[in-house]
Amino acid sequence: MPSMLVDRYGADWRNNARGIYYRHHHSPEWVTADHSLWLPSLHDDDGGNLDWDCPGEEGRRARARTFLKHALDNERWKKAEYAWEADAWTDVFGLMRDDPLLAA
Amino acid sequence: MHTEMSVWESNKHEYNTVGTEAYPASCVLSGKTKLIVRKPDATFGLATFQPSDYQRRAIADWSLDHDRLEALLVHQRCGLISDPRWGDANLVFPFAVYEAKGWDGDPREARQQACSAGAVYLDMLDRLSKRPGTTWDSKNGEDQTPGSRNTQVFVFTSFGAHWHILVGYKRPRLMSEHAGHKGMSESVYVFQRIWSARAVTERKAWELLSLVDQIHLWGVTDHRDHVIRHLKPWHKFAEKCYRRDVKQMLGFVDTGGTFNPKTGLLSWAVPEFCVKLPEWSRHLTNDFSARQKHLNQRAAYQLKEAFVRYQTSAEAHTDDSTKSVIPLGAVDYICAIDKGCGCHLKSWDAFLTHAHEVHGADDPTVWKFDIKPSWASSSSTSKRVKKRRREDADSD
Repeated sequence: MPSMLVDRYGADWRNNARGIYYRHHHSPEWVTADHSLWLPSLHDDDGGNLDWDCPGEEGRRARARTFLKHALDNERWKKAEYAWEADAWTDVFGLMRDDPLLAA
Repeated sequence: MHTEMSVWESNKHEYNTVGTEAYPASCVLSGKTKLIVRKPDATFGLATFQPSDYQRRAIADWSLDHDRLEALLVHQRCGLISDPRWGDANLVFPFAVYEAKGWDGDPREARQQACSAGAVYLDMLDRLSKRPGTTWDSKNGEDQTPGSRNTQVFVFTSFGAHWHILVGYKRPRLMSEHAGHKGMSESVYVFQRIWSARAVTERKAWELLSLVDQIHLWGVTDHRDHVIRHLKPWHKFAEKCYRRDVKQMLGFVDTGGTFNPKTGLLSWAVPEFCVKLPEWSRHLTNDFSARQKHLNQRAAYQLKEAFVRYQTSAEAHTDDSTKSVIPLGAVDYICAIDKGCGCHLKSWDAFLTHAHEVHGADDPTVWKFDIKPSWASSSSTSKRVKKRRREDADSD
């Protein structure tokens, strides 16, 4: 096998041999009939988009604005992985981290 | 900053697995295995509970009790791994993992690392979903129910502001995926990207949070219910295993303990040859001697706890003609080595000497551990502890 290809794709191929496959999008065809997957969705039960303007979303939108502010700040100052990770931990996963039913 | 980062690193939750090496050029599996230790940037699993939690927290579920999960983990016939860090039972049955890379990192590496962790968590859920048994890799296990195989995990990766959310599930390898070929695994773990965006607008940031919040809710409801439902048969199985151990080892474990008035602690000892760890612990080689020791101590502790819990009923159920019967409260020990030689021994030390000299037990050392005696105060063992204390005082 050409070494350039192995250099570029070897890690993925070795993962494939171990059984780990990655697909760029979701398709029901990649899920066997005996398996039922639950997926989060940005659509409501009628198939329309979730309404982010409804009053019930105000709390989440406030969190989104905080997260966005930190992300733009990290981009502007080209911050390292640690800064991105620390902000994700607080702004994205904060509720999961604080949930007494969960451990993180 | 450096201190902050090192604290941050130490808070990450390790996972362990036995990985199969792949040839660097052909990229198929060589068959050689090695223990893998990795720390994803974040792991999200279920919390476990301690006795003190049941009084004040309605959410505490006994199926997720720390000590019960540890009992499942360290028993030779169960060996159910619930915490990805082998030997712990603090963060159990993870359902999501996160890997981050800054703009100077490699996003593919983040995805590969996160999916590798996700595959390990899927294996753990797969084993949980099988009927309880000793096959630790669950190859031959049957599903507990037809819906048991519906397990899944989520993977989050970020490359700067660019986020991906993946869903992964496990199934047998299909013929179209080279099933049965040498150098290919038997199972596959399919990770599909379900959302991706650069979170640099309020709308995209809100979408990410909306999806993460839904996954959070799924984790504490459907996923947690699935885990608790499938743990119940395992706990029943563990109870049977420990009951059997107690019955087989009557007179074999120091059930009285030794009270140290200076420290206020009870010291317990369980002979080393009573403690047999499950198959997975064999992969903890020399680099993990401290963890091996800890596991042995915890396995001895779980065995002692089983004695406290089941000894009375085990004695009641044992046939009177059996040599290993000990009357409740008896001081002497009756040897049960080599299917029960039946020798009566007057003290714990005499028992250990006998085990060494007569049965050739190479190392008569014991796993010792100290415990605050509060738990023993109301049980039937307290009488024996008090009796032992009086005897110790008399002999002094």
